Parts: sequence; structure tokens; C-alpha cells
Amino acid sequence: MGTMISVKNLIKIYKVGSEKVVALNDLTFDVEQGEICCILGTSGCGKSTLLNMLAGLEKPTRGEIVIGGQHIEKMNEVKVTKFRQKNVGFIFQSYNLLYGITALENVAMPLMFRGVRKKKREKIAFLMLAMVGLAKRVRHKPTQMSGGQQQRVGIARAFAARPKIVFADEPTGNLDSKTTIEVMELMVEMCRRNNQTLILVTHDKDIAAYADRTIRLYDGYIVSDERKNVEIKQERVLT
Amino acid sequence: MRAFDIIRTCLRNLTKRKLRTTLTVSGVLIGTSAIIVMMSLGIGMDREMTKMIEEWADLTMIEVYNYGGRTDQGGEVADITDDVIKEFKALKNVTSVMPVYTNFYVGEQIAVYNTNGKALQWTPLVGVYMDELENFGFKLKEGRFKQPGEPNTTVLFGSEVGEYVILFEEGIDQWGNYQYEYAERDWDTWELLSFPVDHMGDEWYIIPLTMDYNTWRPDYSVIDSPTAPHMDYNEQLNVVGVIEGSWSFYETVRGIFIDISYIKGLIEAYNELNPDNQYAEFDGVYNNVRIRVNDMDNVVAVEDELKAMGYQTWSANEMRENMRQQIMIIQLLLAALAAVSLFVAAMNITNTMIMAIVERTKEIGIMKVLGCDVGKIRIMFLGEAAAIGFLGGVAGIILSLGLSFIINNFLGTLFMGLMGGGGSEAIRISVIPPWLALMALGIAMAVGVVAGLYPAHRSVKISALAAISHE
Repeated sequence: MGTMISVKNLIKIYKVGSEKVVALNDLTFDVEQGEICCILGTSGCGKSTLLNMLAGLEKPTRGEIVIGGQHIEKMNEVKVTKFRQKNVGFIFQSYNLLYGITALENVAMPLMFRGVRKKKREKIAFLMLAMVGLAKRVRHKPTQMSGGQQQRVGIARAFAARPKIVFADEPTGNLDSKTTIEVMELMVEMCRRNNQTLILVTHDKDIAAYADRTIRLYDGYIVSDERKNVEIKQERVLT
Repeated sequence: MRAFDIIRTCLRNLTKRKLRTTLTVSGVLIGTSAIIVMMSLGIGMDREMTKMIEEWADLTMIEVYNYGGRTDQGGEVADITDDVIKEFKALKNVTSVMPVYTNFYVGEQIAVYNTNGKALQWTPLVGVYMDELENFGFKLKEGRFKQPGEPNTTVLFGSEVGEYVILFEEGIDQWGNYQYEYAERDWDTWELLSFPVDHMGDEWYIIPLTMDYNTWRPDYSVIDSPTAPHMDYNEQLNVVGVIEGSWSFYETVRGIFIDISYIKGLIEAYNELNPDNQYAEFDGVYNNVRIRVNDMDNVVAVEDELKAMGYQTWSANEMRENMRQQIMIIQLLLAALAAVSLFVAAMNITNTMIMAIVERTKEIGIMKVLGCDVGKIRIMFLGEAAAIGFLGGVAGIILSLGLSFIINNFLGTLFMGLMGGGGSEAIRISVIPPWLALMALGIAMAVGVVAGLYPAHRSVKISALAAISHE
């Protein structure tokens, strides 16, 4: 398996007034294709900043981000949007669905941006929704759904266009524990099915348990980077 | 993203906010129909005016006179001879040139009579180039034009020649007057119902007259005395046709058209008979020449050239141009007034679009994050603004067609009534030609696009990150 994401000496400095705040301090790591990688840390540790940078939503102050051989940090907005359209899926904590349109149309949206015909994209979207267990709710609008259902629509949308990478930002942050388990299992299953790379950003150690690998951030530094079966089990013993 | 998907998204966003869209569209509707109606009034006025002038004037004809004076270069103005007429004819856009010589009046200096004892009255004898008449645009009511090579006694009658005739064979009555006969006229349509003469059927003669100085009347008695010296000049006329008369060229109604070469001999004969009342010999110089121009819009240019040569000109078109300029000024003022309402509509569109963008900030951010091209977002908003313009434009056209109908059918007759017009013919004050409707639709859409430029630009500048992170 090849390297999907390669981050080298990534630095992000924010200017707040006259003060400089270092959000990310010289990060270097690689993510393999098909890997489920959790970025774990408390709020303010820089994990969201890192995700935004990987997705090309923010520009790094210094350093390189190479995804599938392409330098994200060098792309302009038009190129990076095109890149996201072709390679990236998103799952958000607050779902970020469009509330004026149906679940089906929400899921079909990334395909619409790619220029897929209405009939074809709605067929794909229907299959995706069926896969997340919402076959009976395709014509519902997100406002008529529970949080868990909305997040499942979000997952269907993220995977609909078969992106190489899916970014999930606190996907279970607004869900109860039962739904959290359902959603996490669904995400992992979808990922495994097509050997897609999943970057999971969370502050919840239990969520990290679903990942192959956990990178811990603290104040912009990587404090640990461990594969499953080793570190996670130890922590469970400890707690 | 496909064009069809963009259109669908635009329409969905417009229909989602029905009231707001309706109000914004109404603004454009009012602006568009204001412009259309205002312009249509100008066009209608121009058409009515042109029609009115055409009834009594010939808009493609120029009359040229030579009263002396100087050319632009300060030289002497050349007498209008046959050679100068050839120069006129060589001018651009001139289709025909014809001298008009009307010193003689039938019934005064000369008599034209038929063998039934009837002599014509009130009829100018018009010397022209007979072979040029058809080319000059004369129309025939009956008969034909003179063929080249026919003798110069070949003539054409105006349409109402013979309306009034003198019965010269009856002699004068006790008060010294001749008996007369006249045509019946329908005073509503102004048409002649019957003539006392048959234009082409009767046998016509022409003869110069002498004046009876006791009564100051021409002396017709000579016609019946075969020994009179006049009879040397008594010639038979060959009437080959009758001209379709038009009051814009008086002689086509009342005159007899004869070749200019015949006039020359006639002057000599008249002078010989009237030693006390001589006419100037015809020396090949014309005082009045008519020029036919191919299009009424070229008349001014031809007139300018003639003036530069030192001649005086007159054309009905000159007057039409003056009136037209006044109408254009009114039209511009009205259109400017209407443009104000369209400007307000444009601001309204901008406002609506900015509100839409503020409301949809999050949506735009999500779309950007999910990979919607920035350019497509711009097109989407411009499309929405253009659609508002288009809808307003179409509605505006429909409304102004209705308004135009009302103006023409109700206000039109009222207006004519106030002006004291006859109103036998319906007057159309407001005219909307297809080009005006299309132009208004184009303007409405352009206004929409221009009004949408800034909001669309703003939508593009929305930061995807800020949009999705703000709740």
C-alpha cells in the first residue's frame, strides 16, 4: 500500500493582535492508503487546524502537504476546490447538510458538482442512503430527521462520490453514546469496503478505539503516534 | 456541474422565496413597462406624424429653385438647364429629376377643349420631361405613359381634370358669363362621382387664346370661327392616360402634363397672337425642378448638396425632420424618466441578492467545501439576478402591451376628440414594434446581470472555512 498523505515540517502560526500563536509546530507524518487514522487531542491542541490544512481550507505558514502526489499548499482556491471535488469527502460535527433540499439531493450533491447526470447521481445517492439504513427517508428533508439520521445522511454524502480520503471532524460530537457506536461502525465499514483513507479528528478516546492508528496532539506538537492493539489496550487497562 | 443543474438550482432558490422574488420582479416589471410605453409613445407619435405629412406631402421629393445668389465657393449659380439637370441626376441617391414649367393656365392664356363644346378650366399646363414621368414615380389611374418617339402633343391628364368645364358653344349670357358644368362630388370621401367629360374617349384640341379686354375674359369665340388666325395653332392632343392624383403634388390632380418642348412653341404662338401681353421666350432655363430621392432618410443629404451649389430647395422632409427632432427630445426625456425606475429596480435586485447571499453563507460554504467550482457559484448568482431581470422583462412586455392597447383604444379617441380631429381613422399613439419589446427584454436582463455583479462577487469571496464553522 502506498502513502496517501505525506506531511512534512508543517507549521501554522496565527497572529492574534500583535501576538503570534503557534497552532501547529513542525509536524511530520505519513498516512497510508486505506488507513483509518485518528487525530486525538483536547480542544485547542490544533487538531482542527491540521484537518483544515489537509483539506486545503487553510494555508500552512510553512511546510509541505502532499496528497496522492499533489502539493496542496501550492494550489490556488480554484485548484484546491477541484481537488476536493475529486478526492475528498467530509463528515462534520454539525452535519452541515443543506436544509432546503431532501436527503437524496444532499447525498447527490458532490456528484452534481462532478457533472454526473441527475438520474445517475440520484440512483447512486439512493443506494448510499439504503446502505446507511435510510432507504425509507430519501425524500425527507434533514429538518425532519434526528441527529443520528442526519449524520448518516452526512456519511452517505461523504462516501457517495467514492473519494480517496474522507475527513471526519468530531463526527459524533452531537450524538448520544448509542448512536455514536452505530455511526462509528458505519463509517469504519464504509471505509473498509472500498479501501478508503479516513482521517478522524476527535477529543474522545473511545472514538479513537475504532482507528488503526492514533496521533495525539498537544499544543501543536505530536506527543504520540501509535498503531492499534498496543497503545489503546494499555490505556484501557489504565482506566 | 452541468448548465441544467445550475439553472435548476437558480430556479429553486428563486421559488423558495416567492414573495421576495415577486416583489423584486415587480420592480423590474414597472421599470421595463415604463420604458416600453414611453418609447412606444415616441414611436407612435413619429409614425402618426409621418403618416399625416405623407397625406399632403411627398417625402422623397425635393423642389429646387434658382433665385440667383452664390455657391459655397462664392461663384455664380448656374442657370438650371438640361445640362444642370443631368448634373442633379448624377448626385448620389437621386433616382429622377424633372423640370416643371407651369406658366400657362388652361382657361386663361390657352384653351383645351373637346368636340362636344366643353373647354377645361382651372387647369395648369405642366411642361415636363414626358419620358421621365414613370421613372419619377408617377402612377396611372388609367391608360399608359407616353412612349419615346411619340409626338409632343401626347399628354397625360391629372385625375380631376375636367371637374369644371365651360360650355363655350352656348356663348355668353346676358350678364356676359359662359354656361358651365361641373362634376358631382361626394363631400364625405371627397371623391368625384362623374365628370362632364371623358378623359380618354373625347377628342381634345389645344389653342392659344386672346384676351377680351372689355370683360377681362379669354375669348372662346375664336374656336368656332374656322377662319380665325388662331386656327393655325389649333392642334389635336393625344391623351394616352390619366395620372393617379395626389394632393402632395397638386398638378397630378389638376394639371395636364405635356412635353416641355411643346411649351416652347406654344409661347411663340401665344406671343404672336397677343402683341400687348408678351411672354418671355423659353430660353432653356427652368425655374423649378423636382428631384426624386430613393429614400426619405437621404433627402437631407441631397438637399445639402443642392444648397452647396447655390440653389434654394424645399422638401416636406425638412419639416418632418424638425418635428422628428422635437419628438425625439420628448422621447428621450420620457425614456430618462423611465430609466430612473429601472435604476431603482436594479438597486432592488442588488439588495435582494445580497440578502440571499447573507442568508445562504453557510450553504455556499458547504458547497465550496464539497468541491463546487467557485466560478459556478458566481454564475449561479448572476443567473438568479438575470432570471429576475428576465421575468420582470417578460411581465413588463405583457403589461405594456396591455397599457398600449388601453392607450390606443380609450385615450386615443379621447385625445383625438380634444384635438378636434375627424377620427374616421383609428389613431395609434402607442406603437410597440417587436424590436422594442426585444430590446426592453435585453435591457431588463442586462440590468439584472449588472445588479448581480457585486453580490456574485461577494458570494465568491465567502470563506468556506468561516462559513462552515459559524453556526
